[in-house]
Amino acid sequence: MDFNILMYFVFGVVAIAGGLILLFAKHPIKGAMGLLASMLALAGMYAILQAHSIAVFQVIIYAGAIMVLIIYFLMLLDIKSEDYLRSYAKLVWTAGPLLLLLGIFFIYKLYTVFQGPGVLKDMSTAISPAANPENFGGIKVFSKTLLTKYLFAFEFVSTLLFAAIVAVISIVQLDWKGRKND
Amino acid sequence: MINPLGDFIVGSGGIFTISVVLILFFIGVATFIFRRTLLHMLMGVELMLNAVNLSLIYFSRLHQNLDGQILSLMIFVVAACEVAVGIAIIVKLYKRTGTIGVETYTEERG
Repeated sequence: MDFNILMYFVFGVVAIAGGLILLFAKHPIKGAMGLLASMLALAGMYAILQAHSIAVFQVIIYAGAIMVLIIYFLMLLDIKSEDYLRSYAKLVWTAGPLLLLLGIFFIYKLYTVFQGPGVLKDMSTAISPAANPENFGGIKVFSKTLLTKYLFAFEFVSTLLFAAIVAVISIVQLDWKGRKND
Repeated sequence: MINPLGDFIVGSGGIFTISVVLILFFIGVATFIFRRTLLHMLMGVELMLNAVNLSLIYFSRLHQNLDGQILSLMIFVVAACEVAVGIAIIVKLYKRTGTIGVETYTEERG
């Protein structure tokens, strides 16, 4: 078996295990560590799927910035133990099996679609795996596409970022009666 | 030219990848619904966004088309905004009530 394919399976299993740790771990810090492991494994999967720049962004932005922010605030807030003593809602025994059934149903439908007549064959004739340029997803091609074809979306999303900064500052500055904090 | 990784991605890797995407997404949904802490709910949303990103990047590789990667970069930015605003709101709520358990927020109950 090819080493990349083996690592792809390993990363997928690690991602799912990290998600399960997030769901089941009692302490929030352990859950955050599970989410972090899941994100790093997903970065590995992106790299194997030739999305090299997205893999780097995943490590820098998600694992480096967002998760550090979440863990920082978990430690800052000093959450009392009664918040997670009864950590699951009451509806877990009714909604949990329903959610599980829904997930199994989706995967089963997907399996039947993928096993259906000619789906995989159509895919593999439409996309030849040999036509696989070395620089697909590299930073040069990626940034050229981002700054020419998607320039408007790029600028628009920077406006969204600016609006979020303004929103955060105004949320933090005002107190509950709408007066300015100092 | 033998390209085992390309064959794998076009062939049997598809069902594995989409299974991982669905399982991660449903774990995120379950975390959002069942865990009763605001930061846990925020992390569940992050996990759902990550699962969607994986499917975008898989299909982008499958069709040799960069649009999916660009869209996943946009999702990164949206997730960063969401976490910044969400954590600001959580800190304000914590300063007001002294807890981040959602079942204690009963002021808005009609």
